[in-house]
Amino acid sequence: MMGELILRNLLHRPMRTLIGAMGVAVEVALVILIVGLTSGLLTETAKRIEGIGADIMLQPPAASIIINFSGSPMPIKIGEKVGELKYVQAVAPALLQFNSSGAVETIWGIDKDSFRAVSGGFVFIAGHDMEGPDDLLVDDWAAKAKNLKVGDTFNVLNHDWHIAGIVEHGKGARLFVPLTTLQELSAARDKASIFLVKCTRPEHTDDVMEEMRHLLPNYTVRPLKDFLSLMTSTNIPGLQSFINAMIALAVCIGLLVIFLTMYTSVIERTRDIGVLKSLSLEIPHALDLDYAGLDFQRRHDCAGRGDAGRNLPSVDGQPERRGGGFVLRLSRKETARQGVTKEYRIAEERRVAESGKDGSQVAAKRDRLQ
Amino acid sequence: MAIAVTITEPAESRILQGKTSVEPILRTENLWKLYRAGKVEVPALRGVNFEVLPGESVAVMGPSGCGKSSLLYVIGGLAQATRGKVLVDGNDLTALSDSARTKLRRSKIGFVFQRFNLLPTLTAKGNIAIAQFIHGDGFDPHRFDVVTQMLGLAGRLQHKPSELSGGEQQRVAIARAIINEPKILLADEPTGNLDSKNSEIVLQMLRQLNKELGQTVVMITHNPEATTYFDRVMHMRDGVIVDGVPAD
Ligand SMILES: Nc1ncnc2c1ncn2[C@@H]1O[C@H](COP(=O)(O)OP(=O)(O)OP(=O)(O)O)[C@@H](O)[C@H]1O
Ligand SMILES: [Mg+2]
Repeated sequence: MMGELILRNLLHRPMRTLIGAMGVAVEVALVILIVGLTSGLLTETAKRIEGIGADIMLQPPAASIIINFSGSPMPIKIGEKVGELKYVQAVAPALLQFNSSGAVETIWGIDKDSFRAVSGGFVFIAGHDMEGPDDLLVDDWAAKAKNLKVGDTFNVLNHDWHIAGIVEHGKGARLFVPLTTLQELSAARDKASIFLVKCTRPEHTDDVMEEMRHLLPNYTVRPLKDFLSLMTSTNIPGLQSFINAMIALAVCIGLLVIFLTMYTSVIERTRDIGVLKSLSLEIPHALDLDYAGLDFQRRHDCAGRGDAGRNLPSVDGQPERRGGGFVLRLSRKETARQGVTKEYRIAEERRVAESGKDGSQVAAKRDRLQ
Repeated sequence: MAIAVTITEPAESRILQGKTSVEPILRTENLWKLYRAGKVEVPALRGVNFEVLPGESVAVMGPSGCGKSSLLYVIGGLAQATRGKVLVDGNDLTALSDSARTKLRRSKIGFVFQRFNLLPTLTAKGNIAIAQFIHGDGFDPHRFDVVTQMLGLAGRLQHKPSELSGGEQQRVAIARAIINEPKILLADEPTGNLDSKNSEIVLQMLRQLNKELGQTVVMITHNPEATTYFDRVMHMRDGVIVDGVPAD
């Protein structure tokens, strides 16, 4: 029976029940989405980096594995020094520019010859390699997403670029521009964010890394072979706490929403709870309502429900039990009082007129009880 | 949970002079109820003494704010007395804990309110049956049939309160109140929301319950005509009973 009551109450307001259920569902979805999105994003970025074809990546000291956010660029001269090392076949500098206006994306400024030497070159789907200073290469996915064709003009980083070619995805970034142009645009002349290093043979990777570490202490030297496995959230400082914070936030908001829904339904059901109490259902103390709401007169006379007499102390010093503060203030409107009083006066007059009747009735009753 | 039982001394229950006395089913001794709102103390009851005999029907009248509802809620165990005693069938309510009072109420007291107070999401049948479930004995079809037949509800049981007339709703509320055979039925202005025709039906049914089932009834009313259905009328003013107490 109580189960039926609960079920009926849920069905009584299907919209609220639905919204409540949806709130929980959305919250769960949100958590999954955040985790999925970050890990998906990471994997996808990692794959692209791996796909470049370089063996080693050099980053400034204390750089994050999320190269998009890597700190201050390094002088381009460093690349030349690395290029002189044994077993190094080619070095390609790249300046990374993070663009957050509109879509969030990273634009790579590359030197097309060195980049080709390291990566083996782009596979062109349309158009040709960068030739002019304003030429831009876009990968097929980005081209599709942005609806770009060769020959189009595309504005990014406050600069109008000419789309020279569409390349197959998987070479580090989605947008490539000439290194020198990007250096000028971002006031980083002769600077690079990363250097991609290609060894003469893959087996030499460890040796080259050793040498690089020796030559450039403090700099971050990473092999790209297992870049993907490195790109996990736990490996990226701050990301795990970011994910945790997001999850905590989602859970908090979700709980608040659920609490609010429950609170409003309890408030709304004050009377029902009072009724159940009057039917001798044991109501937990937190919901102890006294008889608030059961008294028609009181409910309608009270000026506003908001300032309900919370925890009114009783005369013997003990606070009156008015759990939850649902009990209503008793200020009565004079009009209501007068209305009833008039009725009462009539009753009084009548009573006086028929005085003696009561006594005889009681006597009759007593006789009957014997 | 044991319920404290106060045995009333027979000498005290002197209902009738010189004759064999009947134990009152309900008795208050110097009953006080004070509310405190902020710094102001509102005395609702200032020493109420009265008795109700088993099988008696009593109407309580008095101006608005004189403490009628407070009295009903205190003797019904819905509210706590500030001072004095409330003896329901020999048990002192004021000495009981909230949960013990609730348990006692289950078997002794049924409530009817002016505003019906039915659960809007349940049908008439559900509203009556839920009282049986709360009582703890589960659904008793026989008692259910007897009560609903008597109150003329047989054809309306599948309807929700919103689909019932005021009179029907109040009859459902009465059925709910008496379905567990409480010793006392307390009604706070049960006809206050009804037109004269429905009021009469409800009053007649209360009288029928009283006369045929011997149900003890205490009813608050503002309607002087209603009192003709009752054995005794008790008048209250400013928190005290001004007459109607059996003289001894
Ligand atoms: N919870 C409360 N807190 C403070 N004062 C209260 C409370 N309940 C009732 N009172 C006051 O106690 C007095 C008696 O109220 P009560 O409701 O018992 O009167 P009543 O005789 O039932 O009136 P009515 O005929 O209008 O229903 C009134 O002055 C009322 O304002
Ligand atoms: Mg009242």
